[in-house]
Amino acid sequence: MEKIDSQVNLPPGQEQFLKGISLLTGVGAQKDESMAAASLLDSSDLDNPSGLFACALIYFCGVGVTRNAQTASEFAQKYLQIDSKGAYSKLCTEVIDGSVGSSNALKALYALGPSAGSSGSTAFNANLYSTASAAKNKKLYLVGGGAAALVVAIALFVLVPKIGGPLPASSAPDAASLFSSDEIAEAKRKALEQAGLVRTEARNEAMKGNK
Amino acid sequence: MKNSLFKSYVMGALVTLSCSAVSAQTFNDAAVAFDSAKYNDAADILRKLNPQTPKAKAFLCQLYADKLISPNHDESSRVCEEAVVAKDPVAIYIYSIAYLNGNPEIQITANPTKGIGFMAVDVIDLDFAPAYDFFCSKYLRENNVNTAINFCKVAASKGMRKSLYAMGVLSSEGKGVIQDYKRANDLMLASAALNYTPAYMYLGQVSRDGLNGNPKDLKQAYAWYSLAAAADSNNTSAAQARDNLRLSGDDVIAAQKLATVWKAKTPKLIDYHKAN
Repeated sequence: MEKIDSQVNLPPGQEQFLKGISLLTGVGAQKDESMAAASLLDSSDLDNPSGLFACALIYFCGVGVTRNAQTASEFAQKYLQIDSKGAYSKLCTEVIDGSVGSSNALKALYALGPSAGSSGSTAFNANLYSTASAAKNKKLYLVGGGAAALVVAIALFVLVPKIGGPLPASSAPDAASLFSSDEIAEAKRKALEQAGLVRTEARNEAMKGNK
Repeated sequence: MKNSLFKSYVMGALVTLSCSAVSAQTFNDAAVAFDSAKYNDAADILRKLNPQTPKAKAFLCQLYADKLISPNHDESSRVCEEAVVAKDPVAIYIYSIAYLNGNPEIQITANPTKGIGFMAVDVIDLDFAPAYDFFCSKYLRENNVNTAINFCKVAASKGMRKSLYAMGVLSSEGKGVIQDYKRANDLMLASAALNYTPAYMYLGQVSRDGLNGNPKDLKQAYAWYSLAAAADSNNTSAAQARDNLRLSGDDVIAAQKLATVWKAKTPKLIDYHKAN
């Protein structure tokens, strides 16, 4: 990992951030929101501004984590403490006061890929998807994307066989979906029959007791 | 004169405001107090609700039945009975358990037949998931799988974690249902998603030993055992099984991360008092 950092001269936590975005968007890795959240949280642990901003957004939108506006606000505040005039400061303020809106927050989150390499040096404005902005960040995106692809390749071919896959948290099935409606209808009919027998027995016992 | 009139006006307004503040307390305020372990506050709010709904009476009944507030036999008997007569499913469930085991807090002596009868009423008239769950466990304890399975299926489909686990075991062993490892795994995951310790333990064992057609994966096993130990601090066997895996430091950190991500996704259990 140190080798990768030195090759592309990434700031602390940027590697984890890029990995997180890669997992989040499914570009260069299989999409996995839970693991994306875990990587972004790792990035934020290293006080990476982009990571902190991304964590504010994932908690604000509930992507890969349980939605929690309070936690989102805490990440946004930490971002502002580190880089109060950074590229994402305006959006962080909006996350804190809740005015950003889920839809905008989600757009901003998924737009982090192209502008992420800037590490807060590029002004982040409403023209998030403009071609000008994309062109401005193209070089950094390529570097970041390359690093992310390298990290993902290492993760896939070296670490995953060693570490094992993630717990299937996101695929934990909904209880009701595990049974067909016919199966439940039949089970319920039989359960009600049995419960009816039990209730009758209880009533008969009570009547005997009263006599 | 003017001054005293103003004073009395202000005082009157304050009294009105404070009265409205008290009367504004709702059932949900009681639930919040309960969640904060402020049981006496919860009871006071429930007592002052106007009208005092069967749901509120059932909640108060539970506070007495579970010895969370000081006994008051007159009130406990009254609220429990009134909630049961109004066919509140929670109250009937509390009554059922009280008759099965006896509960002096709400002045009920043990009468298992009556207890089972109340539980049957909760199934027949109120379609109450915990009552199906009860019969699932009861018949399984009596090794009556064929009867149990119908209750287990309904309770599991309603999200009762114990029944989901039971159905997982039955599907894995092929008892009462066709053996189906994939389904067993899904049922266990659904139960574990409700933070059920035995389901975590089961999944831990499956990962550790590579059972049910799954490959061995010690890091996943470590994560499941960690979740089991966290869900039930008295479960020393979970912590022991986890530590017996003897993973390297890096592997432990990776496994802990898996557990943390899972935990973040664990939903809260259904609170039947708060449910509409």
